[in-house]
Amino acid sequence: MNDILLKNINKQNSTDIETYLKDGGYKPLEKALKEYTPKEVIDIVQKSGLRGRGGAGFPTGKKWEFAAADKNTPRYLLCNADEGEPGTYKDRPIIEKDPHQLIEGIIISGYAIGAAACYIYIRGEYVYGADVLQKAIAQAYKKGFLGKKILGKKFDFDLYVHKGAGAYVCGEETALIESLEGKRGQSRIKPPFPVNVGVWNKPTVINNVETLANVSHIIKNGPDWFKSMGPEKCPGPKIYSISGHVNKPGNYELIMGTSLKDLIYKYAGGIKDGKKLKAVIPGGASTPVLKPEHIEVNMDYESVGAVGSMLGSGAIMVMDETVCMVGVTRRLLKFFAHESCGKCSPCREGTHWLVQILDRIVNNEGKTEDIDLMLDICDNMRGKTFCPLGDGAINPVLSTIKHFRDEYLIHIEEKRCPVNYPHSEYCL
Amino acid sequence: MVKLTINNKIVEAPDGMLLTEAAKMAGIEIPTLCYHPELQPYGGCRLCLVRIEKMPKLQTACTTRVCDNMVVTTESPEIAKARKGMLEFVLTYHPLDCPICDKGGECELQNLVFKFGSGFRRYAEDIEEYTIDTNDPLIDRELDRCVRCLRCVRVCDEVQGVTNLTAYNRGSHTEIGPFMGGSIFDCEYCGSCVAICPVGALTSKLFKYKARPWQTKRTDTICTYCGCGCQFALETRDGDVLRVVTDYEKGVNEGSLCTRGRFGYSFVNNKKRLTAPLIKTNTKLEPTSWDEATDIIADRFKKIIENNGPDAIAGIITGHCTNEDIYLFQKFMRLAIGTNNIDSAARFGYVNAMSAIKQVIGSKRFEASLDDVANADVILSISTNITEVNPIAGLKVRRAAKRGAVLIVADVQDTDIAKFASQNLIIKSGSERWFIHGLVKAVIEKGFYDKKIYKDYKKFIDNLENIVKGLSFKEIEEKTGISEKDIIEAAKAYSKAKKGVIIFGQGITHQQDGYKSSLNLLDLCIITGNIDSKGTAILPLCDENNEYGALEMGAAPEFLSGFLNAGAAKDREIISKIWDKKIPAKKGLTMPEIFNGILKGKIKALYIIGENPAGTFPQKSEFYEALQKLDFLVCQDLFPTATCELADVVLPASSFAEKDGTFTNMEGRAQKIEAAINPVGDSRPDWQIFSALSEKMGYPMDYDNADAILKEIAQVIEGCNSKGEGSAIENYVKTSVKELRAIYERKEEKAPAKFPFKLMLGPVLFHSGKLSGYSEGPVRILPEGRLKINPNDADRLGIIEGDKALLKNANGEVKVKVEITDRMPEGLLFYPEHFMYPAVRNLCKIDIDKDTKANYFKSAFVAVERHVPEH
Amino acid sequence: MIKFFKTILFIDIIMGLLLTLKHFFMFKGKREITIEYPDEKKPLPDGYRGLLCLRRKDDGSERCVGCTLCEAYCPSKCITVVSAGAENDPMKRYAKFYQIDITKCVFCGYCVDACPVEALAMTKRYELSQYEKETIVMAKDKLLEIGDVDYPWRKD
Repeated sequence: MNDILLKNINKQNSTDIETYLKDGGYKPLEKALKEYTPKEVIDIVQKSGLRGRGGAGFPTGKKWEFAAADKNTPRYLLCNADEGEPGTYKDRPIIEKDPHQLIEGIIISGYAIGAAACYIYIRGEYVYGADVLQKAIAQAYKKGFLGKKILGKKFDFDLYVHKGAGAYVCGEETALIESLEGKRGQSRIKPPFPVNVGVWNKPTVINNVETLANVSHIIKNGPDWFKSMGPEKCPGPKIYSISGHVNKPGNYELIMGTSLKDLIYKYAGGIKDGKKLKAVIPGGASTPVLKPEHIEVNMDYESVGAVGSMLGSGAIMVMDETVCMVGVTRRLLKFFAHESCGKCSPCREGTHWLVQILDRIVNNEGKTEDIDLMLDICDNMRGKTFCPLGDGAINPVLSTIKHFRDEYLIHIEEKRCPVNYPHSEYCL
Repeated sequence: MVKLTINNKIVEAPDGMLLTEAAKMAGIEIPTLCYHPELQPYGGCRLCLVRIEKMPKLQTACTTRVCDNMVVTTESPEIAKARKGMLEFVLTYHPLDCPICDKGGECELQNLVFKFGSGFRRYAEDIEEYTIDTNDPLIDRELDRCVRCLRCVRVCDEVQGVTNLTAYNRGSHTEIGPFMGGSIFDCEYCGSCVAICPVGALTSKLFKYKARPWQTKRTDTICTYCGCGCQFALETRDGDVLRVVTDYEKGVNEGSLCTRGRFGYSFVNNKKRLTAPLIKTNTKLEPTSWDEATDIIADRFKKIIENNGPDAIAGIITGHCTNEDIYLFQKFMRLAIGTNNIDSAARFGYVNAMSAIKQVIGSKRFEASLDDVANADVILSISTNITEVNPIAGLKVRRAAKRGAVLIVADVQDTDIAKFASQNLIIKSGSERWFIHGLVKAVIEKGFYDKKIYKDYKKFIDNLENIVKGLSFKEIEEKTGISEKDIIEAAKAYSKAKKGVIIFGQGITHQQDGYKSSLNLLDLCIITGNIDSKGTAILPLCDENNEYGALEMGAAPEFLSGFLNAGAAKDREIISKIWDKKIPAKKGLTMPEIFNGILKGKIKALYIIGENPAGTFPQKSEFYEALQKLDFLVCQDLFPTATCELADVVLPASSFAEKDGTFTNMEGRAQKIEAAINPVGDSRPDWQIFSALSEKMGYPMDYDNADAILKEIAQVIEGCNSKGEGSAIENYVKTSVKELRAIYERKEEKAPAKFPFKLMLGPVLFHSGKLSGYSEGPVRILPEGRLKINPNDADRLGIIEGDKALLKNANGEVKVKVEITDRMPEGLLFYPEHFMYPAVRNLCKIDIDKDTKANYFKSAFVAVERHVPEH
Repeated sequence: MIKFFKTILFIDIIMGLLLTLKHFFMFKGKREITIEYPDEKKPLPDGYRGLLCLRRKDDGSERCVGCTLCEAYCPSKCITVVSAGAENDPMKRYAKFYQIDITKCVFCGYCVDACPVEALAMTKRYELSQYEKETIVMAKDKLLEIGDVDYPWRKD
């Protein structure tokens, strides 16, 4: 636990390049540049079975292969550090405490795909993180790991930090590209996919911070080491961010596929004040809610999918019995309505409409037909929005209606909150 | 071509075509809202969802490109529900105010809901308040109606290249507005956003609440403002022109218009229009009948012919008339009167360019096309200010530049098009010729010329080399302010072009030695091999919409119809045969010569159509005095002008909206116009007036309609083409060194110490010609002229924005309002020529070109000081 | 036999004349049959489609917004509307000119159906003959006048 990606975060001066070098840092970069051709690096990553940690779980090696195969140059690498999903804070310790791990991963990835430059698109709110990265990048330039002729090889690579301006949708890769180009943060039409036509219409690979952080370890220890960890289909370490009603919330780096029960009870110390578990959101705000009976599930892409939810970014939100699920849904929907970019009508108006209905229900002014109306709105939104934001927005509504319909009915019919705890302010 | 199946129907479509277009071709309707054929796919409204086999979700047809073996379903309960759902989302906040919405009846959303929507509204929550802004002079924004398709924002960016509109805020709070905020658009006011809005969110103030689309009649016609010749349709009701609409598939403009075209139509129904013939009795103009007016004119003309001969009568026609009008006018003058004393507005400068082109290319019809401009790989734009003078031509340049063409802009001020230029060269006013000669020098001395051309025309290039040798780059830099490096770079880019286009404007043609400069530019074309091959062009911009037509129809003393040489007996013979009457052989007088003739007492009567010399010539000039000395002045116009006040007989003419005919734009493309309304008042189309007069003059020219005249014109032009001739270029390159030296002569104008500023008059985007001032739209945007001045100059003179400045020179003094802009270089002032008052034109003096007798009166040297208002 | 007596005593005729006599003396009563039209008028059913009029809102302003839907819908093309923006409030739409040519009107009531703001209404007026044709080509003020009478808008 915490021995691969997060192993440096508690060290003194962990952001300093000297600390990192002392620990064998930038050796994998040397190894990659001197021993392997770009093609071989891609092969190694592909063999390791590394899948994107941003939420969709696309095989990283495959993505690189597509981009590297495109003859159009220059190619670009984008590091998606726009960690906007509520409950997710897994990239933050890497950025703020161990930036060189990320930078090294980026340089190796850039070498693999033959990129000319990389942009780290960092969330606007991560002011400190952006600062740390800037300093770390300056150090890396000084040491010759970035810039022209890196380590004497014929490989030029530049790294820039670009701060976002606070839009959740810019975590979506094409919206991120638009935003990086200085345009309004709205998703682009796919196809063409960014691997072929990305930033400034050039082939572009976009990887999550956690994904790129893994790369140096794969090069260092070999693909077989990586593959030996966790389930066969998605091996490797994974950082789970646990929040909510647990005794020890925080980031836990574990092997992919650790069970949810272990996560909550073994690592996070169980539910606060010995209360009963009511619901868990397993992968960030946009994933469907799970009930206590699903708690045995292994936290990897396939297993979570099998019980009707998604692993997403691995942000686990735990809720105990004091929580009104209607209130939670309303709170989540408000976030999505606020973050909807306004490009496509189902997302723009649907989220807004759902919030207004939920507002009514929470204020005990709901009507019986509201549940059906919400289901119909969700049906009209599902699969019809431009980008995944709209699909994500309906997940909380659909899953809470599915699992906690009785709470809605109590709000609507009995005009009261189903939770009888005195501090049930979550409801409003 | 690929084969795909849509609704069990096999459809063939070009590879890469959008599914919506392929379905449309096959006659299958897919509803769309944010999609527009002119714009890039967007995929926002999600109305065009269709089922494509092997795809997990419904796909938007407006973003999907067709491919082989695609199987598409566009009609199914699932899709119908999706469409209904999407429309419901759009309608959640959309107010149901169709009865008062201006778009009612042509609203795309209305039609879609009618066809695919549900008749019931489930959205019962509160509706937010959106911006409703009516402060802009022309465009109203009612954003509660907006469906966020962003078509306006995209057309502003992708088609117009203006990027003035933007979407701000996010999600359901998204609103559309000017990029710089505020409620005034303050843009080019091309009106594309209004035209493309599918709902009533952006509406034109001028058309607002005037009529429903089903009440109006649509007539396709051609714009009358500039030489671009844009096609649009006039919507009229009961003799009122209500608005201008365009179709993106039609005309050179492809649906785009400039502000003058889109909003400058209301002069047609202006209350000030002349509605009856007027005759002067006791120094006052009194209305009379057509019969009496024409009788008087015929009598007087006959008397003058009897006493002083036919050459005592002269005529001047505007370039705003149709080809038919102009053709008949020159025929009237040449046959019914018997004189060659005819001239047109082209004499103000356009004739320079056309004479030069005729000299080099010969009498074959000159054709350059705006498509060539749009497809060019290098464009050299010299003194054009193209986005303001000829906005649609400017749009083509913009498109080419956006596509990746190299654009080199040389102008005396920083122009709008320069923002797309790879080289923006600001040359000193009056040094254009040095710049052009610099280009020629660079091409020759650096060996950029076409190798094949060098082989063919070695002598010519050697001659040129001899001439430009005397001019050093140092001198050029001194005069123009452009360094050797820049000139060589520009010359290199142009000579390397496969599709090189030169565009030159008023800064060349309407200046001293305009004819020679045009020839110099043609030389540049010849030596770089950009003269005859496909895709290359040299395009002089013309200011009035039918100046080309005026010359082609023969409204010039040196040209007969079809650009034939009036001085050559052989050419006269060709036309005489068709007309069945001999054309007078005596050389006619050009416009300045006519006015000199009046002063000398040779010319007794003048017939002016649509021109207003008393209003446009400087008052201190001899030409202005000449007008008072005339025995008999006939004025034929739309509006009572200053010249009309001096006239003995005033005849009311019809505007372009009231007559049939053709206009020839600057590409040489003749386009048909059609009468949209009946003539206003008692006015008549010009050709009918000439026809009536000719009958009274004893040489009846009777035509049933404008088409009959067009047939005769076609016959004449055909007759001209039958005239065989050798290659004109071959002749031209034999020009002797001595003659060439004359063509490459440079004259320096020096500002007198007392009057250090150079003042230029010229057209602006919102106004041109004599008509825009009578139209509500342009007047609302720009009600008065402002003197443009460089901030440093203003600082030095202690002038701040909004102050008045006093312009002074030997000819008088004028007070004008000031606009401070860093687009003007130091020492140069600009004032829109369009505004009659204050009469800045009076400061200018008239210059006459030695070669073509073109007259220029658009610049002057002045002194400027701050005007202190008296208390 | 009875038939014989009935015949010679003119019983049937007398019976008939009696009925006539009865009706002759029955001037005005409950069983009135003839309506003396110019003096008396038949009560009209609800929904009778008579002359058209324009209504006002309760504050006295015109209801008509000049949407021209009545003109579009009219099967006999007897309505002419010219709309315009109000001078004091450019966002307000009204009918600058409104005219119904009653000579052409077929009283179908489609225009009333089409009116989205209930500005048009049908009165129960039906005596529309005039000596001069112009007088029954009704302009806006005339129609409003009729509306003021038949659909009073003042609250009192």
